[in-house]
Parts: sequence; structure tokens; C-alpha cells
Amino acid sequence: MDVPGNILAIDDNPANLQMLVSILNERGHKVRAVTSGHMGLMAARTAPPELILMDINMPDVNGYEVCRILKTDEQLRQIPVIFISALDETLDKVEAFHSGGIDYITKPFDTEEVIVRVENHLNLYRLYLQSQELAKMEERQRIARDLHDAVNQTLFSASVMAETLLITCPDESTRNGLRRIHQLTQGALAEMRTLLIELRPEALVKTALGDLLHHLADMMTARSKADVHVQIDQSISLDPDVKTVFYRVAQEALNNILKHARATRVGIELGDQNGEVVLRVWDNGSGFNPNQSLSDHFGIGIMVERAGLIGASFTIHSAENQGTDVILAYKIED
Amino acid sequence: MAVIRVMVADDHEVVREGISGFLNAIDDLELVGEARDGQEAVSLCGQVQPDVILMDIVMPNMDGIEATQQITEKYPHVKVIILTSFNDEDNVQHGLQAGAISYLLKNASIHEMSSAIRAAYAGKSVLAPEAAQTLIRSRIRPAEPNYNLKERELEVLALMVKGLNNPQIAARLYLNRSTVKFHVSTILSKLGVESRTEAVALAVKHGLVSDE
Repeated sequence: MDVPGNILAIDDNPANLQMLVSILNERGHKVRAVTSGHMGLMAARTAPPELILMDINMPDVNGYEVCRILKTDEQLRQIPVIFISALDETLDKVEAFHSGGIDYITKPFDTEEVIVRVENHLNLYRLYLQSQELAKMEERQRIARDLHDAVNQTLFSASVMAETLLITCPDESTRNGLRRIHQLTQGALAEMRTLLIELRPEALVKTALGDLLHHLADMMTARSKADVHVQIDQSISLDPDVKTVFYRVAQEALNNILKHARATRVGIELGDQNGEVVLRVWDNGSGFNPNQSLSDHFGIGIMVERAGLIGASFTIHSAENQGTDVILAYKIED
Repeated sequence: MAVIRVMVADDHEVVREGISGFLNAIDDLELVGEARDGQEAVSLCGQVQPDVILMDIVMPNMDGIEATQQITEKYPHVKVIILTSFNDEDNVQHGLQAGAISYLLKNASIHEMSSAIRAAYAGKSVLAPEAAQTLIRSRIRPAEPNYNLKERELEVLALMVKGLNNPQIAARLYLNRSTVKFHVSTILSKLGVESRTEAVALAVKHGLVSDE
């Protein structure tokens, strides 16, 4: 097994414990050994194991009872319990399963048998936990997507309603208000489109880079008061890894402009020049002094790293109050 | 002035509300019916006989594409305009193939929607610019090659596209990890690629796996 198991063994007979510990240690598993049911419960509560080997006949409280108690504990009831006992009667096996155990090994036990049963159940338990995690994650994503869709529909409708009111409303100041509402809802719709990229990883792979950059441009128009100039060659098609870097660099650059630049003009350009795909994001805002090490402040380190991942070149020109120019260039092989 | 009789089909009440408001405010357009899903759309269309239908795609019971198919077959004089949030290849192509005359996105202005309704009434097609782009891009793509993937391999590939790693795929499909690894390497070899990311990209590009 790749990952060693975290096992708890409960048996009042130290010799039995010793044997189990050595068999399983040999396989690389970590085994905690305790000699009573009560100590077993304490050990399980302190640090839940992935599997419990449980003797049945114990003086203070027998194995069935310990198992029943484990099954009432919210934190511990999913942990698989394998009973180990000398009693080999049908009645006892039934009791073992009834109390919540999932397997039963009889003493004197076969080393190989102990190993395979333990490792099988460890694997099953781990798969089960992963499956649960996955289900939870999918559920959360589904809820997020439903919410996203519901909000989109409402925004669209609000936008339509604002426009409808503009048809019949004569008062100029109200008309201005309605136009503003329309603009805000259109902006929110644009932001929802970029949100979808985060909610659905496949969306990034499926959507053309030109469209993705247009979404970012729409978002900029909505959120800033700047004039956004877009010059995008829609025919450019890139491999997903490369496309992701271009998208994330554009996203980071635009976020910086929103946060720091106070720009009135912003440009997003994507084109093909001399065998290189070039992305340019520029603004006429406050810029920064490139000699000061503010790279982390503006996420520049991240952009440089991403560019490096695909072997693209990344340059940034800026001067105080003279705007900023971010350029990402990627050579395409024929 | 000819009054165009318009029906709207959308499962979201708030959308029907907004659309009926705008239709009421425009003189030459008249709202004649509202449907909440594809099935209602088909039956209401029969009863009310609109000139133009604004049809959403994602609806319960029967989706807009199926409803468009049925309506354009049964009532060929009725023009269907698809009005949706989705701009992906499948929806645009299937929508138009099912018989819709136009495809609009839910960021359209009142002006765009009313122009499209009048155009549809006159038998003219309107495509939202983004939808036109999607269509052009899909036409430029060369024909789909056949990679000979078996059903199990397609299942694994679908989960790879969703971003699951091998242990997660194993959990989902009740396989053990080495079986999944084996399937993944067979998939890479059949697709002629070296990495998982390339396999996913190829799958998406050629539509090898279906959504959801």
C-alpha cells in the first residue's frame, strides 16, 4: 500500500497485541495498541484511526459493546471495525456484525489473512471517504451554479425592465436614474460571466480566448469609469495551458488597474506578430516606479511565474503618472 | 400597423415578468401567452397560434431545443427565436438545427429583441454577434476524428475533463487506482498525446465527452 495505515488494536492479551503490531508494522502500517475497551475508546476519540482491530472477550467491557459505543459516536462511527476472536460460532459472528463490525478473523490467525483483510478494508474506507468528499464538493458546485444562473436571469430581467420604463418615462432625471440602473445591471451580468469561469473549470478550456478577454473588458467597463479599448484577433487559438496563462495574466493586470491606477483609458490587445501571439494590457493611470521592488504588491511575481511556466516572455513598462504597459508574448511553433 | 403576436417560454418567472413588461410597452408587439417549460410551450402554441415565440433553452420537463423541434414541425408558420444565457457550440448548433430562426443571448437590449421579433415575423434570421462567432468557429474546425475509445475509457476521460485526479476517478467509478492509471495511459496512447492536459483539451475540442 502506498500510504501506511493508521490502525488501533484493542486486546486485553499483550501477546496478541504484540503479534498484531509486528505483522502490521512489517507492512509499514502504524499501530497503536491498548489493552482495554475503555482505553480503546479514549485512544479513538483522541486521534481517530482508519481501522480498528477489536478483541471480543475483555474483562472491563467486551468488544461488541465497545463497537456499539463507537457506532453511536458521530466522529467515529464510520471507522471500520474488524473483530478478532477465538470464538468461532455462528451466533457470535452474527453478534459481531450486528454490533457494527465489518469483518471477523478467528484466532489463531493466519498472518497473510490478517494482512489482506486489513489492507482491503483500509482501501475501501479510504475510497469511501474520498467518495464522500467528492459528493460534497459536487453538491457545493451544483448549488453555486444554480445560484449563478438564478442571479443571471434576475439581472437580465431587471435590465429589460429599466429599458422598458425608459420608453414611457418623460422625466429627465428619472430617465438618468433608469439609464444608470441599466448600466449597472449590464455590468453585473458581465461580472457574472467571469464568475462562471471560476465556477466551471471546463469553461476556461471551452471558451475561446477572444471571448474570455471580451468578458474581462466588459467587466472593466462595468466596474471602472474608464474607456476600454479592445483590439482582439478572434481567430487566435491556443492550447489550454497557454490560454489559461494569457487569461490569468490579463485578469491580474486588469485587477491592478482597477485597484491602483485610477485610469481613464484602458486597452486590451491580442494579436499575432511575427510568429508570436502577443497580449497587451495598457492604461493611462498612475503607473509605478519599476525600480522599487513592488513586484508582490501588484501581483507581478505571479504573472512572471505564469509566463515562465509556458516559456512566454513577460515585460512591464511603467513610470509614475505615465501609465503602465503589460506585454505577454508567446512564440508559436509551426 | 401589423401587430405581431408573441409568446414567451421560460422557466424563470422573473424573466417572463420582464419580457411581458417590454412587450406591453411596445405598440406593434402583443404578448399572447406564457409557458413555463417546453411541454407547455408546445401545447400553448397549438391553442394560441402566436406569430413568434421567444424560447429559453434550459427548462424542466422538456427543453427549448426539443420544443423548438416539435413546434417547427407541427406549426411551420410559427417562428421561434431562442433567448438563452448559453453561447456554446452545442446549444447554438442544435438550436438552429431544431428550426429556430434566430439565436439571442440574455444580454440583449429591448431594441435588439424587438428588431429580432420583427425580422423573424418577416422571415429573416438574426444571430447575436457572440453566437455568430461561436458558429463560425465551429464551422472552421475540421471533421471529428474517430479515436476508438471504449465506453469505460470515455467515462474516465469525462471525469478527467471535469478535473478529477486518478484517486478521485477511482472513487467515482468504483475502480482501483491501478486500473484507472491503466485506462488513462490507454487513453493517452489512443489520442496520440503525451499528457493529461492535452487529452482533456482534445476531448473538449472535438466534443468527445458530453457535458454533465
